[in-house]
Amino acid sequence: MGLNRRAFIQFSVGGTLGLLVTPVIWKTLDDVSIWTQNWGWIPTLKKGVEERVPAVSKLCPSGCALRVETVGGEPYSTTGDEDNPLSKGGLCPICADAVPLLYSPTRVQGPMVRTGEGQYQPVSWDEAKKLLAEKLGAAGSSVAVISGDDTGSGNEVFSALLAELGSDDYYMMPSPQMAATRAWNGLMGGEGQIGYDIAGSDFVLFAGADALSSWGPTVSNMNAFAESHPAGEKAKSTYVYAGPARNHTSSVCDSWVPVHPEGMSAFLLGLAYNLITEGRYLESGDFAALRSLLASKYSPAQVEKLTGVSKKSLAELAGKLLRASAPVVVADYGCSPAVAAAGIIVNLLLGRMNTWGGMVALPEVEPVLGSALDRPTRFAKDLPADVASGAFAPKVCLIYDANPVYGLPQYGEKIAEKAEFTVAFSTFKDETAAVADLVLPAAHPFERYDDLVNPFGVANTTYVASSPVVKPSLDVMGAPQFALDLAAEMGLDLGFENFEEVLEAKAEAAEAAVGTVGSYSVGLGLPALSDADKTSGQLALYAYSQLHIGSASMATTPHNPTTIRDTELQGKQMFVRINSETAKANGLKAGSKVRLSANGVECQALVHVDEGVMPGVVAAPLGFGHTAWDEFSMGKGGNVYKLLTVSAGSGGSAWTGSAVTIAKM
Amino acid sequence: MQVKEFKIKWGMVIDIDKCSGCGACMVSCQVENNIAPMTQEDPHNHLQMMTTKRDDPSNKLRTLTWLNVYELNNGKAFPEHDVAYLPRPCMQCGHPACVPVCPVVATDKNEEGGIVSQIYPRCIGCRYCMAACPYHARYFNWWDPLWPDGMDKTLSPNASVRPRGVVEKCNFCHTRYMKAKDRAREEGIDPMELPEGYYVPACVEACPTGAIVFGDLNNPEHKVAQLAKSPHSFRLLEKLGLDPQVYYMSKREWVREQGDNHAAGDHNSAVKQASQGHE
Amino acid sequence: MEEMRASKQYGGALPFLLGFLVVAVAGWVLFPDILFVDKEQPFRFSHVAHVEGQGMLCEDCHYFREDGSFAGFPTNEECAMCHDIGDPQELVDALAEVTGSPDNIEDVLKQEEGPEALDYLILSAEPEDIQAERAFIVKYLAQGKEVPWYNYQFQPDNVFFSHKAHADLTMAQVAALEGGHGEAEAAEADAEDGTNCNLCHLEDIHLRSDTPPFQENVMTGYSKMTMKMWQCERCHAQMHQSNACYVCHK
Repeated sequence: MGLNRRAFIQFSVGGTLGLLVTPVIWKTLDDVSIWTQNWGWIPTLKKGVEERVPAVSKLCPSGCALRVETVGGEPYSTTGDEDNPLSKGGLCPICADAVPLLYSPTRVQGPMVRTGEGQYQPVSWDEAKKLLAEKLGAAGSSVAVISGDDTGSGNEVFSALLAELGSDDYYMMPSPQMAATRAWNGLMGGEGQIGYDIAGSDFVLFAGADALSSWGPTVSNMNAFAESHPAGEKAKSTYVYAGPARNHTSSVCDSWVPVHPEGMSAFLLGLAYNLITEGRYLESGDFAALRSLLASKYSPAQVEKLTGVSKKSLAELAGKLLRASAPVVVADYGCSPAVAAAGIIVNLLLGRMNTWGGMVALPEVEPVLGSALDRPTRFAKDLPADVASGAFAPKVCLIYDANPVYGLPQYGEKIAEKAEFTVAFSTFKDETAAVADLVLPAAHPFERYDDLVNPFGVANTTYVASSPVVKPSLDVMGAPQFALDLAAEMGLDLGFENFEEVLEAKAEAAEAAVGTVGSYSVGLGLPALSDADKTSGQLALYAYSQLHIGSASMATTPHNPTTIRDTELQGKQMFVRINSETAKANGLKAGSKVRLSANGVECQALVHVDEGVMPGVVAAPLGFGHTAWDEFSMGKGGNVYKLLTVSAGSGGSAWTGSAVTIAKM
Repeated sequence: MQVKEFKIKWGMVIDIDKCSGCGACMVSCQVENNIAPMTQEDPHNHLQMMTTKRDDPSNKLRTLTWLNVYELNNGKAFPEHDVAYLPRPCMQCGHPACVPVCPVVATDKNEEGGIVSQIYPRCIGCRYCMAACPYHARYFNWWDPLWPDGMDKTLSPNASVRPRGVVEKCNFCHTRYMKAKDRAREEGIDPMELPEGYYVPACVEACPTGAIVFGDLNNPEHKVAQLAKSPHSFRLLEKLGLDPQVYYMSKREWVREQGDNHAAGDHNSAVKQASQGHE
Repeated sequence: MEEMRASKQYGGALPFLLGFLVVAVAGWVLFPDILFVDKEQPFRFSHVAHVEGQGMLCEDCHYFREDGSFAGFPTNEECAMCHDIGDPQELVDALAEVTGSPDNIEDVLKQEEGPEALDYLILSAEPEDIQAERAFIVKYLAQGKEVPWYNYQFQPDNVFFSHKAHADLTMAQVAALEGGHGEAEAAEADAEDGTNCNLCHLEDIHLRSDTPPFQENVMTGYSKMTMKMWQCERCHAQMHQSNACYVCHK
């Protein structure tokens, strides 16, 4: 038997036809096409039960109450919490990206000790605790805490620890709450925590406060705005924004009153002048002195010069405030106690203290740790002033939930130099963790117990506690729990061993704090107001915050770079906004590369000509210029916090008058 | 082109006067729909790392923003200058320009609800649809999706992950619609009569100012049905006659005018012609 | 010369037919098998032991959740309602004592029984069931890992399948359809309890005490039982249901 050519061909033809009647070709083609749809490097989805777990995210300054969406127990997204009055279903652009941050490579993986310039060695929590106990033992009472937690009971734990160590150097990072507390509880001698019933008001004046974008309980403010402006219907209230440039808040407000950055106090005092002219008065013993101060320094003509607001506009605005049935003024600018005090005075003149839709003073929620400082005292110490004067030089500095090396105006970088041994409780590898001597990884908000006690600005006593949604994937723990453990290690009795129990006690204390406190019979903080008529006469910096870029402690989150406009950031260059008039005066045009300088620091930027900025003002975004973190923020733009010039006024440091120079490069 | 009529027409009415431009909707959208953060280096692809970097997020031609918030201004000088923000999802047009140009029927408008579908495994990446869409609502995957190490643990179950080379777009978080129908069936409600709020896209849910209202434009009980008829309502480039299912509203005239981006004077005639052409 | 003769000997059509038959038979008989590899499930699961043995109902594990989604594979947490192992760490410690290290506790599965801490947890009676249960406890419950079951009805991520939408479909309806309806034909008789699971899932799985291997397509990774798009579409068309893309895709 053999095979010749002819038979072979016949066999092949038969085989080929045979192949065509089998599924081989068709099935293979089909499978190959499916194969091309499923590359190994394209991740696949998880299946399982889907749930929404209520939680708190404190990644944004005021904290968001939200729900974490999970699949098979694993978080995948966040959404607002309709049942929570702080959220009513909404959330902010940082907390919308909270879940991806859980598994960000930028998280601190475990405790680390610094062994040299930029060199770190991993240690166990036990070793870290022993090391820190030793350092604290040696430091005696030369210990300070810097806290960036504006809302939580964690402050009490750290404050109690500090007190047990014999120190009262508790520093809060600057915030609107600090300015209002220093004004109301400090300068004016008032009682309780200032809040604003925006939801109940029919005429809201945001004086400098970027309340619908970055100030106060942002999401809650936005809810109030949304409800007062129902789609397709007539607005139920009027919102006015007064500030140096159009920003997110002004874009939805019913009108914008341009006010020079250095003139915010004067603007408010000008309003007070008009109100008094219209017959309004105050019971305060300082009232006569206020009148003469206004007459001498803040007459409408003088105010026009200081603020750029014409006598007519000012009088009209005052008239609207007077005619409204429930007006409220929310004033905040540059952490200035003077601005806060002037705002409070306008509210008092309007008779809006503790009224529906007005300004409220909420009773303090009592501390539950005996030796902890109460809220107003926590805000008394002045970090920028003490760094500048050299009074801040602790042997050990604990930095809790803050990133001062990045976000403290003007002096941030000096923090770690002044302290002998710096401990950073950081969730992410931020600028402060990059220079700290001991880095202790704080759990992500969804991995820890935490709470929100009266986020600054709320109109009713508000308490939200949250427990972990997911087990930590890294060697991390809640900072307050570590502080309690540390106290136990050092034999100090703080009254609690467990942070969860602190929260339970705090919830009870919050329940006891009902109604409102405070009265009209307060001082008026006149020393702070008397020098609000000073101007530098130079180009003024208006530094504004937008949460999608970041905050003083958070950098841009992974999904936010696409939300940043190409007129805000182009590659590594950020934009500053100036009016065409300012551009012309400085020989600049759109796209010019410029150097901004103030107090010996420089930032590079490109020019975006924007008619929404007052002439003579440079509007620059805060939140860029990170030197740590990850590719979503590192090296992008300049750090405008460093350009803010801190000035020590009566009542505390502020940066209302930030003179800046702009030069073409 | 022949138009399919649907009993349900999911639509949005976006109140521009309420959008502060915060960006929460854009972030929620990306997280819900598994749009990877824009990382520039792919540690798994050595060839790419040696040759070129992936795109920077400020290159807006290369971002994947199913929902994009645009900034508008009235063009006036200080102090009359005014700014508005306009969130732009896919318009889910009644006469979509993208559907007839697709050579492989990877995109279609054929499901009850009127959402324009996009089937990724079927897409061949020719991008005709992108050229056709006047709203720039479609996006091309220039790169494979890449999450920073470990972050893909947080993928949403609601959208399949798209590889490089296909086009994608907003689909009103369509999987949420499927799930809403399942929930309705479980609760004994007719899935063709979903009550308002049963099905809500992620952006609508996230928006802190409630600027986006969502519902069935054909259901008079849904708020969108009334809002779409408001004298302040308009649709983008209405004169093109694509019949979008996304409406906008603003009390500011300059915003409404920019919405139709008309050459001065031709506004009314163009709209008239377009509507005549389709009736 | 020999070849010449051979050619004449076999005539014209024979090599052709031979080629045709060899390839056709190979294509139909051998090819379908070489395309798939068998993957054993993580451990043998006996539906019989649970349904007949313990009198459990299908719905005890496979039920509709409140949101209308369907619970397919039960989670460890659900299994642990009966298979309660107490504190997993204690069990791991007890096993580690036998094997010498917590890293290789799975070595206890090499022996048929012991240690006491594990035997004490076993609920099964049959030897095969006992081995399976030991594997479940040691490999998964003790280590807090969910069981990575292979899904015979695997569908890729771009498919959204709603069990709820198909829940009211009866076998009788499907069997009565005109034209071919594939898998449904085999299942027409089974309609006693009103469920239609046999339409797509392993036939009468509740009567099986084993878990057949998962047949994985070597090229696509899909299951041999993965229903293809044309099958979905055929039934939708026959049932006068929409075949719009977004009815099934995400």
